[in-house]
Amino acid sequence: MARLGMVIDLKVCVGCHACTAACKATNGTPPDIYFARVHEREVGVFPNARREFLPVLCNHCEDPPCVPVCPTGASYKREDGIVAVKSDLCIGCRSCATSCPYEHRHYVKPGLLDTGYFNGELTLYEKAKYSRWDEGTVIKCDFCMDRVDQGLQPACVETCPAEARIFGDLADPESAPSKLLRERESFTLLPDAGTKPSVHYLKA
Amino acid sequence: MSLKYQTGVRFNHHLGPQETLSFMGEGVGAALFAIALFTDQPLLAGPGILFVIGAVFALLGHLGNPQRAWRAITRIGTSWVSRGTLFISIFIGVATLSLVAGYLGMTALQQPLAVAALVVAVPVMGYAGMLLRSMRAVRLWRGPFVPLAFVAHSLATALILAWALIPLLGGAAAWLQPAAMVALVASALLSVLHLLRAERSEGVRASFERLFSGDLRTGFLVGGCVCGIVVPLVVTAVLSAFAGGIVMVLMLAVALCRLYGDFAYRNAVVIAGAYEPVMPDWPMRSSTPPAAPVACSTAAH
Repeated sequence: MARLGMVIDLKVCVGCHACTAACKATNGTPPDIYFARVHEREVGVFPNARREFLPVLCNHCEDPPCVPVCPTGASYKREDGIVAVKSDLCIGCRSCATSCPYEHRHYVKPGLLDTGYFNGELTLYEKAKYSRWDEGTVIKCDFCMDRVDQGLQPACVETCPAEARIFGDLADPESAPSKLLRERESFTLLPDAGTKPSVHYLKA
Repeated sequence: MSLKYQTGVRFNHHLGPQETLSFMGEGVGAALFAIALFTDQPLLAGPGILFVIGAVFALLGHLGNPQRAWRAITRIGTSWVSRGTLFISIFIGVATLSLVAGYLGMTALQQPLAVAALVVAVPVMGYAGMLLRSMRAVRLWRGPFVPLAFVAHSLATALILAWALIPLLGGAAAWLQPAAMVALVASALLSVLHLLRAERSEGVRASFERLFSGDLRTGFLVGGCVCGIVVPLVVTAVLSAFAGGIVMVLMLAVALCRLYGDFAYRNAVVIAGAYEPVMPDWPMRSSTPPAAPVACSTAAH
């Protein structure tokens, strides 16, 4: 059985936020909702100071805490490991959002889809893109599953200018991410949470 | 539009006072109904059911799509929201029917219905604590003491309410006063145990900081501890030796004080729930470690 996942190479990530922009453009998420973000921080003291970038997205955990807490079955995990939400079943209780240790579930507040980025009526782009979302529901990164089902890569992977993101089947030992995980030192976020993330980071 | 990401400890922002009010209403209402049965005071059972119905409305107000709320009953095997919905629905139905049967004088029907409502009242009291406990990401809510403390607080509040209201209804139940005191002490002990046994993670430390020296200090210490435990405990003990009109007024004042204290305690525990920082606290570079450890754990873009 496939287990789709992602490896993010921190050695080559330049913190350009292209993944954030590509995700935003592809998914058309409402204002203030970002599925792909880049955290950054300063480490050390001058002259040994540097910035570190950590691109984050839903970890599509093997043991996702957001799925069992859902009272309607709106949150589900596909056979290939992608964790997604069926908006038409979501009642907006936010149990999933509360139980995600990474905070990668986003609540679409009532009225949010009427709020464009340009302080007035929604643009044609916003109207078209927002029609995908339902107010009062929880939305999240789904690894661009519509694209993946067509044999394409997630938007953030395709757009990364440094090719820091490698997407593939973690269950296949011959896949590119599996090979990288064997060859390089890696880590996942909040391993103590016991969620077994499918997004791995290669140390810089 | 600014783009700010907090990478350090982040506090729960999905559950707040409205949800806390709902958690409290369910627990106190179910406990009040149970006490009404034990004290044979059907006039107390009605407010008990109304508390639970009020809690349901508060919960519906929390939902993004309340018109789909019926779906919440479909994942009983895994979700505490589903289980809670089921328990509360059964409780409201059975408890109301038992009251109606009692009013119509159908004792043969009323008794089994009342017993059934009493049985379901227990999980209704425990549901909110179990729900919080099931949110594994917030370590402050983990462990067995949150559900136990929530049940004890529900019982204590309901006992104090019954102790204050039964004399007004012309009844008497001498055991309510010592039972209320025991429940108050038990809820205080379980709350202390909850905090003592909580994991000492960065998130929990931040929660403690908010509870004991941050913005939640007044609500938690003055509201939850003083108004919720100390005042009711002292006044209940003292007032038992007296009688008269002024005592009745004081008893009602203590009941209101306890209601506020119960809310303040639960609200503080819910709002103080924090997520652990996602960024590792070690440098993410394996070679050439910096001269000093991580300088700051939060950054904004």
